[in-house]
Order: sequence, then C-alpha cells, then structure tokens
Amino acid sequence: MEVPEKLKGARVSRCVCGVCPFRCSIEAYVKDGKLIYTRGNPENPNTMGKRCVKGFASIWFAYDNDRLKYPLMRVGERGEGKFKRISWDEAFTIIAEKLKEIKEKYGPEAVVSLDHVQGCTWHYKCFLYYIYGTPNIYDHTAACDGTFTTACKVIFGSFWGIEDYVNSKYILIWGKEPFEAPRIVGFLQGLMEAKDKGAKLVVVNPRLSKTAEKADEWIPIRPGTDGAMALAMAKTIIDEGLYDEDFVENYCYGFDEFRKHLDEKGYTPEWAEGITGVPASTIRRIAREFATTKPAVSSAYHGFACYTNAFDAMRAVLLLNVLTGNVDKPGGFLLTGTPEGLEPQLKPPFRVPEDKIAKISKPSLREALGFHLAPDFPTALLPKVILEGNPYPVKAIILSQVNPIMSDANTKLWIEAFKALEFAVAIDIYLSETAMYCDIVLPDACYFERYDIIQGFNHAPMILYSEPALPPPGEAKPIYEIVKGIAEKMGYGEYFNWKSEEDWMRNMIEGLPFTLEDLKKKGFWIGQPEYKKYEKGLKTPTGKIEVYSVLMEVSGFNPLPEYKPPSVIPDEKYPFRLISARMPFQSNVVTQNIPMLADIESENWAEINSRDAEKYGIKNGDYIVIESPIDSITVKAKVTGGIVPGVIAVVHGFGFGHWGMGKVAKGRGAHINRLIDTYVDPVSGTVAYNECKVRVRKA
Amino acid sequence: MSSIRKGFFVDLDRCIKCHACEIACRIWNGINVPSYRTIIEIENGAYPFVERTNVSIACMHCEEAYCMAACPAKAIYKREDGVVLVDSEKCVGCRLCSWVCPFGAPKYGPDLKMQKCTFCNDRPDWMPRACEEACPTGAIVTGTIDYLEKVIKERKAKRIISQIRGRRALLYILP
Repeated sequence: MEVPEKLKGARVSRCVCGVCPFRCSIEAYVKDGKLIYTRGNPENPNTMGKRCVKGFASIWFAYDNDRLKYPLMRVGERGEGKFKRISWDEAFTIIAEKLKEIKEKYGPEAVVSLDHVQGCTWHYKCFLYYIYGTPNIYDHTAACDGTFTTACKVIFGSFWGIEDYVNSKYILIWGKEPFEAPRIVGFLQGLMEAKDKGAKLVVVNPRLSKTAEKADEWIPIRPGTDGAMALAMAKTIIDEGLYDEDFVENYCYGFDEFRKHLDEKGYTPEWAEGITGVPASTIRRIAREFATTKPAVSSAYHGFACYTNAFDAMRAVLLLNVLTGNVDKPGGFLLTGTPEGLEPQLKPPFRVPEDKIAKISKPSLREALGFHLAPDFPTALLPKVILEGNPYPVKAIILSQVNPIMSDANTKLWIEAFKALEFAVAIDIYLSETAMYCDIVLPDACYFERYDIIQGFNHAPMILYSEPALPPPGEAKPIYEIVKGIAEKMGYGEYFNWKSEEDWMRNMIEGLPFTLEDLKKKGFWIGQPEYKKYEKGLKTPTGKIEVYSVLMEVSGFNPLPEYKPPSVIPDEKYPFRLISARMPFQSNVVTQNIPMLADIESENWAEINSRDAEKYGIKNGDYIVIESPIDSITVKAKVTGGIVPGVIAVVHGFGFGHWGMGKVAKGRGAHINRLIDTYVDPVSGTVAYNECKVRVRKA
Repeated sequence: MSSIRKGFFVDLDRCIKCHACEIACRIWNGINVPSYRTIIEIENGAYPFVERTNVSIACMHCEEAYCMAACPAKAIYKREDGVVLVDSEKCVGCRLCSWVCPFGAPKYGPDLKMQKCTFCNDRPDWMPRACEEACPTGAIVTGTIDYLEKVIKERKAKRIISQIRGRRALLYILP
C-alpha cells in the first residue's frame, strides 16, 4: 500500500498513552527526530486504531518548551517559584541524604509517596516499599476510582468491572461519562454500535452531559441522591418478581436479607421520588424495563462517587446487575482482576533477597486512620495528618507526576501542609503548582520517552508494552533512571545494575505465558476472556456474589446498602450545590498547556439552569462569582436548560486556573477545588468533591 | 453513472463535540495552521425537555463552489474528484471567499492567505482522512458520493440540506 509522503521513512514505536490512567496502546511515528503522527494500535481491541482527542493533542509534549529539562533546587520561599539549576549528581546526593536523615529521625513511614497510575512507577514503588520501608505509597485512586473498585471488591471479589456495551440491549449509566470523559476509545465505539443495534441508553445525571445528549432518555436527578433511586429500583424488581431467581439462588449470598432490608427501610419508588425528584412512575418503569430486557448493564463511576454516601449508592447500582443476572455475561457487567489488582499480576522489576527486605514497623496511614477496605489512602486527608502529626509525623513527600494542590480538595490547606514539610521532591514534566512548593524538582520523561510494562483494562487479561519514540528533552530522565540514581547514592545500587531496560522488563513478566519479544511484536499481549466466573467461585469471603457483604460486616459497616443523605445540604445562605463536570478535550491537570486544546476553549465555565439564571439576572457569557463557606472564584456562566435547578456545574473545575505549569496553562479559567472543604467517603476513602454548597452573584 | 466526486457525511446522531477531528486535522496538516474545522453545539427546548445537537463542519467541497466563483485571483480550483483546493501562490488574501462560503470554511493563517480543508490531499485513497480516522464515534464518514449515499441509507438518515440557494451543496444529514 502506498505510504503518504509525510510518513515515508518514519520509525514506528509502540507506546502506552499516559494522558489519563486508562492505558491505550498507541503507535508513534517519528521522522527526522520529530514526532509527527500518532494513532491507536490497530490490533489492540481497546483502541482499534483510534485514540481520544486528549491523546492526539499530547503530541505537543514533544514540542513544548515549558517542559522541565534540568533538575532544579528551590532558592526562594516555598511556592514562590524561584529555583536554580543543579546537576543530577547534586540532586541525587541531596535526596539520598535527606531520605536517610528523615528515616533516622522519624522512621521511614514519615515519607509519603504520591503517584499517578499512568504507569512506569514500578521501580519507584518497589524501591520505597521493599528497600526504604515506607508503607505510605499512594496513587490517585481516592480522587477517582476508589468507590467503584471498592464496590467491585466487596460484591464480586474482583478489581474492576467492564460494561459490555456492544453486546447489551439496555444500558443504564449513572454519573459516568463515556462521551464526555472519553477513556478507552474502544468502549465508546462499542456504546455507539450498541445504539445502532437498537439498545436503549438511559442516563441518570443532574446534567445533560454529552452522554445524556445521546441517550434515549435523560433522567435529571438531584445530585447525590442516586442511591435512593437505585434502591427503589431494586425493591421494585424484587417486589414484582422480575429478578433472576435461579441466579440469586445459586450464585448470590444474602438475597433474602437484602429483600427484608428493602422492605424494612421502606425504599419504595414513592419514597425515592421525594428525595431524588424523579417521579415514582419513572423509577418503576425504568426498573421494569431494566429487569425485563436482557442483556442489560447498569454502571456508575466518578461523577456519581463525589459524595460521602456514594459507596452504598454504588453498591446499589451494581446490585441491579446482580438481581437481574447480568453479571459476567456478554452484554452485562463483566468482572476482571482479583481484589489485589488487574490480571495477570506483574513481578517487581528487581528482586530484593528475603532477608534484605525492609521491615515495615508501623501501619500505613490508610490502616491507621481506619480505611481498612479502601484500596488507597484518602489523600485529601493528608494535609491534616501533616499539620497535626497524627497518627504519626509525616515529614516528606515524593510526588511522581501528581499535582495534589490543584487536583485535591481544599487548596489552601494543601498549601499550608506543604509549607510545614521538611522535605518535598517532585518528579514531573512541568513545574506544576505543587512542584513550586517542593525543594527539589526533577524532570521526568513523558509517556512516549520511556520503556514500560503495564496491565491493560480489558475483560481478558492484557499486558501492554511501551518503548521510547523520542529521547526525553534536555537532561530529563525516565523515572527508572531517577530511582536508580537515588538508590545508588543510598548504597542500594546492586538492585539497579541492569545492562539494558530489557533486563528489568524480563523480570516483570517472569512466569507469564509470553516473552518480551511477543510483547514487542504487537505492543501488547491479550489472554482469553473468561465468562461466568461466579460458577467456579469468586474471591469474596463466601466465594459467591455478596449482596450481603461479609467484608463490610467484619469491617464494622452496614453489610447491606442503605440510603443516607449527602453530608453537605444547600441552605438559605448557600442555596446551590456545586458539582464538577468534564470537557472531553482536557484530562485532569495534565493537558492544559497544550495550545491546540486551549484554542478550543480558553477557559472553563459554570453551567446554571436558565430559571436560576433569570432569578439572579445572569446572562449567558456573564462572569459570576461563586462563593463557598471557605473561598470564592470568578468564572464565566453558561445558561442552559440542561441542568437540574439549584445546581451549578463547573466544567473541568480542577484543570483550569493554573498558576504554574506553563505559559499556555497559566491564568486561564477558574479552579474550584479551593471552594471545596475536605470530605471523604468513610468506606472507600474517595474524595467527595461535590460536597459543597455555594451562592452566586454577577461579577 | 457512478460518481467519483468525493465528500463528507456527518452523522449528527453520533457527533459528541469532542474535537478529536479538529485536533487530528491540525496535527496532520501542521500544528501551526488555523483549525480547518468548526464545531458547534445547538441547544433547543427548556428544562427538562432539552436537546442538543453537535455539528462538526469543514469545507464541504461543494459541487458548485461559491468561493471559486467569488475569487478574483482565480486561486480556488476544483479537482476532477470534486475536491476544492486553493493555490496559495495566487491567493491575494482578499477574503471574498469567506463572505460567500455558507460553512465558514475559509481560514486565514499568519501569511493572511486563505487555507482550508484539503480533503487530506496528501493521503492515499486507502487511508481515511485525518478527521475520519480520529472520530471515536464514527460520526464523520468520507468517500465518493455513491458510497456516502449507501452509508446514509444504512444508517436510515435523512438529509437536512442538500440544496443551498438552489445548488446541490452538501450531505449533512439529520437522523
């Protein structure tokens, strides 16, 4: 086939996209030292040759002059942004000495590490855990998937669940945005294909989101009340005998208790109508349609999880699949992974002999603060831990491509906490807001400048391979080289003396049914998907699907899902609830320095219902001031009929309003996390970003 | 008679306004060029009965192109397969084309000369256009008019505008 002139002679590398945590396998074309073209890996079922807009635009990382290129040491006050260039040797020496000092003075657990799960953190995590000995290694779970993964764990004993849109006939989506926050493009295509084949798409969401726009039915609901609707649907399905009797009889634990519980609590559609604002007749109709159309799938994700009552709501939404027997079958809710993580498990990149592994003497902060079921520590609570020294002192933070001052709730408190630290290191590709509060900043490689091996998100077990398409800019190094440098200075060089990256990659896939050469050939390996895993027994305490959760019971929580109102309720003084939404062309705090994306929308906006806007004299495009009990912001208003009255949605509220990062990102739009006080879900530890009441006025 | 004329088909039922087409277009045609695509959102109705339609438009390579007729420098020409192109050597930057184009397709770069969608004329036929290749929902389809008519039939779509001021112009369709 004829190759376009532009691509003739280009070298193709296979990489794993790192713009969001969902790991799309891609192909990167480099010609004359320039990254000129990328596309999704055509052979990979998750991408099928496609990638999302954020992924395409991230080609800019190869051109961006604002990228960090040299190690930096802070010379001004924390946050002032004054740094001087130092050598890698100096940087490694300082970090090694400081880490040793803190370990001696306070113990290794005084060092907390935060990273993003976009990959390539294996050396870093294994070094800190096995060699340095801190149990406090956390990723962004609490800001994202915590509620979902914890619910999958307690109900199904799996790590993750995948909605098999393409084979489904009835798709019920709650606070989850396949079109607005496109993650894995293959799933999005599957959803469109299902619609083509006549599947009904119902979206429960306080906003007319991009997914709701395409739905056969949009059900506007009061934010934070989804649990009530899901429980009322469950009660309807059971009361009307529409549940899969055979399925609940054979594969589920605690169905009778659940039925009794729903009756005792009186979770009727009429009760739910008063809470959710959704008519009882609608709730009944959706319940009947969902239960009688097979296969069907019901699923929720992050938008839904931003409340302190979200865990039980998530359980209720996932239990709808259980009641109707739509679990781990084509067109239903597919289970993947074990409670420990995705399958197959990878091995550490280096081996530490048994007797040399660091002894962990203190419990992790997660355990110490009672989040026994949570997959991760609620990082939103970290500032308080640092400032109060309770349960033990935390004196240093190491960050790998994370920016908690921007991305976590309560900006002011985070800044205070960073000021109180003895030592902070940021490893990043930009001088992020959080990096400005660190003592040493190290330039990292981005996702197409390094090697990596990582699991993919699919129903079938999947391993992805990433190789560098380009060298990192300036003196920037991939994170495995950075960890090696620090480890050598601390006297642990023996674990890092690989001859080439292939050595540690081979270590990671040891014992798996493929070789590194196989991986390189296609860029990934995929196993066989396995359906109906519940027939062989699941990894829950009873081995069954737990409608009544034993894990919850032994952890001191209610084993059955119940409805509780959200923690923050709007009142006379602050009459609106603030929620955050997404725009499809920005990813968290990662992509705001890309000029092409800035051209699309230069700033973010606040959506307000037209009736509310009229009351306050707000017109489309006006600037409005949004005040919460702790802070205020100014943002452009978008007046729309596509939002529940009494709710203000700031779109992409934590990726805009940068004051660091780079020239393009700086000073555009508003940052809403400064309005949000610290609330977390007590079970999963997920940050409750939408627990916020506000008032508005014209600016 | 089968047509070799090429065109775009945009399925409004599928466009989610994610801008992937626009970004892929800019990457393929040069990061510093202006965006050739215009992507808009139209809201109708009042809460809770609200509907939104998203549309992604570039040059529609009209059968009878107004821009061509309007261009005083004769810089705009039509290829045999219907693709409308501009010769930037001849363009004088007068912007008359932007006055007559119903779709806002003509864009102007730093040299003030007109640039627009070239139907990725440097891509061979087997390769999809950059926008079509990127579209995650299959909303953009390109090909010969015959092929597009087939897709339209398959998707049970109907044309909303096939005539603009009496001339056959485009293949936008509404489900």
